Amino acid sequence: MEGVAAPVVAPGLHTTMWRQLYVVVKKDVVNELRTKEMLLSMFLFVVLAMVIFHFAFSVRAHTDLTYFTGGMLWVTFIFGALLGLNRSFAHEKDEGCLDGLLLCPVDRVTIFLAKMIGNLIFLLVIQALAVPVFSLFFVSRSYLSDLPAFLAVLLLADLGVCSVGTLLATISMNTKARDLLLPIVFLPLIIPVLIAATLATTAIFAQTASLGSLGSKLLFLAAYDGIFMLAAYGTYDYALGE
Amino acid sequence: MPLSEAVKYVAAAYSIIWVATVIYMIAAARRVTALEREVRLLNETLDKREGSR
Amino acid sequence: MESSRSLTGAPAASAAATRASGLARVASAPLLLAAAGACLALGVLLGFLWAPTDASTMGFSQKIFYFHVPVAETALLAFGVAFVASVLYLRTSNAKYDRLGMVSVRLGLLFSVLVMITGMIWGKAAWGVWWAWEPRLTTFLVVCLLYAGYFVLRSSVEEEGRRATFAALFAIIAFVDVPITFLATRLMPAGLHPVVFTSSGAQMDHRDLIAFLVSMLGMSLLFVGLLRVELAVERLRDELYYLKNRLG
Repeated sequence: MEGVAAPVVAPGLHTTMWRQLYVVVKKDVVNELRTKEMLLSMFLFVVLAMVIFHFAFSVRAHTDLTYFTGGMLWVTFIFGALLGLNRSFAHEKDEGCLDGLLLCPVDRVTIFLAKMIGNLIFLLVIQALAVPVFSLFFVSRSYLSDLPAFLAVLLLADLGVCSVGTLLATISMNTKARDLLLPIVFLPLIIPVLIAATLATTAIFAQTASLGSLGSKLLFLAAYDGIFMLAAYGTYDYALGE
Repeated sequence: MPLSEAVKYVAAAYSIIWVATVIYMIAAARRVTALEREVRLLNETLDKREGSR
Repeated sequence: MESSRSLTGAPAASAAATRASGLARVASAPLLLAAAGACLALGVLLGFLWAPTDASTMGFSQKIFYFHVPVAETALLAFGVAFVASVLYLRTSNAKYDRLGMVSVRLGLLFSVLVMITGMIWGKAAWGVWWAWEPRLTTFLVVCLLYAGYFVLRSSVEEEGRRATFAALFAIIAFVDVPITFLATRLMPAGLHPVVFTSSGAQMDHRDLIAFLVSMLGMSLLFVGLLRVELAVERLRDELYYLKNRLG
């Protein structure tokens, strides 16, 4: 049943933050996976975006897009994430799920973490499906040997996208402009992530990766994630409002 | 770049800042005047209303 | 007749007095603006007549530096003020902090646009191109876009309290992002134009430094002066709104 109210917490039972987190995340993920259409739609969007990129860039015959691969991948994921955030928060708002959740004795920050982790899981699932397709289309070398590095970049960049995205989506969903506002405020903020992730990913795909250079990008992403999660921790109470 | 050319660009850069500032100040002054006039009018209307009670 | 009520408790004035007081309000930061003007003028004089002409390839066009960089730093100062105001608003819910934040962001945006314009002029003069994706220009472009979003956000929220809260949140997040963006644009590989607009040559001659500092001071004073003007305007606007509500 859509829009079911907040998870029931047995009275008198001592619930830790972790348990609350688990319950809320599970509710969100189960809800999303129940309607597999959402997954399918996002996947279709992402693949379509890749196809469009091919047509957009391969104007000349035998164009080598190797140095564009990182950029194309992350543009696809960032715009996909925007769509996903919009949809999931709009749905939430329409169904009043959030209000139900707020009635619960759950710490606001836990709600943020739960939402963020839910979005992260969703994004990771999409990426798990989309990255092989992307590699098939655009990446000529097998980068399995560099897989750990690639996954590290993926995870850290995703964390940045999801933390900033969740925070901003919470704010923008409560405004008139709703899904028009989110891209406007989100995109400038996510540019640093885009830069670092694109540079690192292109280096991996084009095999120009050196450990030192990749390390600095990863460090940068980690710092970004840390800073913004801290910012979200400090401000989410206000974002949720009354 | 020959000096004559460079001077033109430097002058342009400086002028833009001055001009922008001056325009901004004039706009602000006009806004203040208009707002104060309105405030005064509203106050007078308010006084009349309360005075006639 | 009873004296009129207003938020600030100021008595009603005649037309002429209104006009005069209007101008007086603008020049209500008279000392500040005069000092700003003096500083900037001095900075210009020092920069042009006293400091040596740059020996590097930039030559005379390096003089733009005396305005371009102070404007940039003042823009950042403005955003910093907005950050502090936003934090204070969130803690106290006092509307005056929201006003301060909004006005600071507006001024910061104005200054940022000026940074871009003077940066482009400098680019044309020094490198022959109107635009290059060099770190400072790119950073300020992103900053402009970011804080423009601040106003889009404000206009999307109708309820006052919420608008102020969300705006404050965004001003905080945006300001945190500014240094990050600054660093991120430096990660990008240098393009065709290895343009980093530093001061002249290797070391700044002490004459350059003094002229620069004077301009810097002047620009900061200009910012504070404009801030006070804008705050007066906003206070009047709020008063108007309050009066209109009372009249129904």
